[in-house]
Amino acid sequence: MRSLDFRALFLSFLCLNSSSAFSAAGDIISNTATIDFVYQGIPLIQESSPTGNTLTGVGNGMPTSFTEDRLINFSVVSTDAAAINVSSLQSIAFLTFTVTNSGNAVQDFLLTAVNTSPSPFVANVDSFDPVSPLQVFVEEGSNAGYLLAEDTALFIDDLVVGATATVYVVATMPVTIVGDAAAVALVAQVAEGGAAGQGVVITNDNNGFISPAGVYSNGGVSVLAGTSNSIANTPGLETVFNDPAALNPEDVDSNAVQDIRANGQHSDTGVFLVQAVAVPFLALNKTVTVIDTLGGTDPHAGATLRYQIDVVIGGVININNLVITDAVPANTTYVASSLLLNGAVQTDTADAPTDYSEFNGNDIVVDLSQGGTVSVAPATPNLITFDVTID
Amino acid sequence: MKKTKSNFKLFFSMMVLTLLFSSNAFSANGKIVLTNKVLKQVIKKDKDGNVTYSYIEPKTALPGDVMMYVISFENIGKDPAKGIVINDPLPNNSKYRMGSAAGKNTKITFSIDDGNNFGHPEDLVVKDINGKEWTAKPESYTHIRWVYNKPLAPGEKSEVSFKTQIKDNE
Repeated sequence: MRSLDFRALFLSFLCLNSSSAFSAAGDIISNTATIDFVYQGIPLIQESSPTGNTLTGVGNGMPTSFTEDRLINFSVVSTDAAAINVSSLQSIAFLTFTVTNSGNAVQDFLLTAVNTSPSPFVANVDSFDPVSPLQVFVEEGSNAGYLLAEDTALFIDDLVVGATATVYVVATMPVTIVGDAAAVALVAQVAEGGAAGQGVVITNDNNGFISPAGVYSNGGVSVLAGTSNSIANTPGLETVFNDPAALNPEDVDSNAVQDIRANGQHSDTGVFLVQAVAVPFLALNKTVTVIDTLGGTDPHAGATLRYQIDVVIGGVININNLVITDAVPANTTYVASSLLLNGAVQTDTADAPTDYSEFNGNDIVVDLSQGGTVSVAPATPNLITFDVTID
Repeated sequence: MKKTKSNFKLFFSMMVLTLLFSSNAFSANGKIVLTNKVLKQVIKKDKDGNVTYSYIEPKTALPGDVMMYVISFENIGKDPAKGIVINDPLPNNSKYRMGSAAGKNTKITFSIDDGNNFGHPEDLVVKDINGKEWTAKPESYTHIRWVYNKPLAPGEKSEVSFKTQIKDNE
């Protein structure tokens, strides 16, 4: 019977315990023992104290206590399994990293990207640096991957214990050749968390360890090297750097030397690898459809020929001053107002800025650069159609 | 009415008893010194790989650190103290280190229900949501109890101890 009672109680306790709080920096950990004994026939109870309590009764002891100090521990990890393929002159190429808080307090983290060497991937020898400056942004939205409009934060705000943030190093490529590689390290520097905005940077702990100087938030925040501070044990909260050392020589600190243990920083390295050289790539795919007067496809006199020109821009760079001109074939007549761009009717007259297309009597002309003001990007749709009739 | 009166009498007697046992005048005549010290475990490894453990005042205390609590009791009276039982609710943010509770001439039991019931580790059973029974893990211990199985003579001193580990935030 007793055993059954036991189990019921234990079960209910388990439920209570599931909501127990995490241990955290600054918590006072305390303990008081009690002794029950019989002296001269009288039952007594007495509490403990750190120095020895002789007073009987509950409430006369003193807890034996100490403060749980603040552990600064975190890691930066490149999540790219291999080098990230880019093209010469590509803009908005990005590497992906995570920053995980393994300490026991909420922290902010400042971020900077540093060109480094060697490449962590043996096959991809570090041979160039992306166009300066490198930029760093924190993932903020629900869509994976760096997005210009969505991911704008320059530092990690209030990363709770055990949590991970995703960070992108964003870069533009210079003129490169296939096989060129650029190793870039992401460096995270710990700062005070728990309040809105960027917390004060923590550049020293209480055990004599310091952080090197650095420039963070895409050039917006300069931080001086820490000043060594070793204090004796105090009853209060102390800060202890225990961030790990770099795994590899290329995993550098904000000063571009290999990251060491317990400096309030950690880093890891990713690689941009040039796979395609950017040359303007333009294809004009022209097709014709016959629409005869009887609804068939016989190209007899009076039948309509519908021409379609698909202007395809491949590669990774934009094309400037792109104007498409096509002569109306001999023995045909242009059908007035039949010129369409992406399905939108274009006027036949040269009447920019109403539109930038015309039929000049001999040719249809479509100015995709809109008078030289638009740089046409790869993968944008540019579908031109026009009709002629067979004379 | 009668019932109320008798309750008042009972209450009054309890008050007198409480005053008697907890007043400072009486407390000053305590016959035992009960001391609770906490020490941090420091592990050192020499170049041959030999590991030594030492225990120091906790300069810093961080998640994962092992702490040892040493509770000593000394009889400073003229007569023996009998029926000694030491109870210790485990400190917050800490989990008990299995097998670490020690004490000469003691019977050691544990509680996982805030000190309501005590048992040996193998008797502490919990049920999961499927009703399956498991031996309770040391991190769910709430209290340790040492029953000292002989009288403590005048001038005699003994001690019990246990270790905890400061919880990681996993």
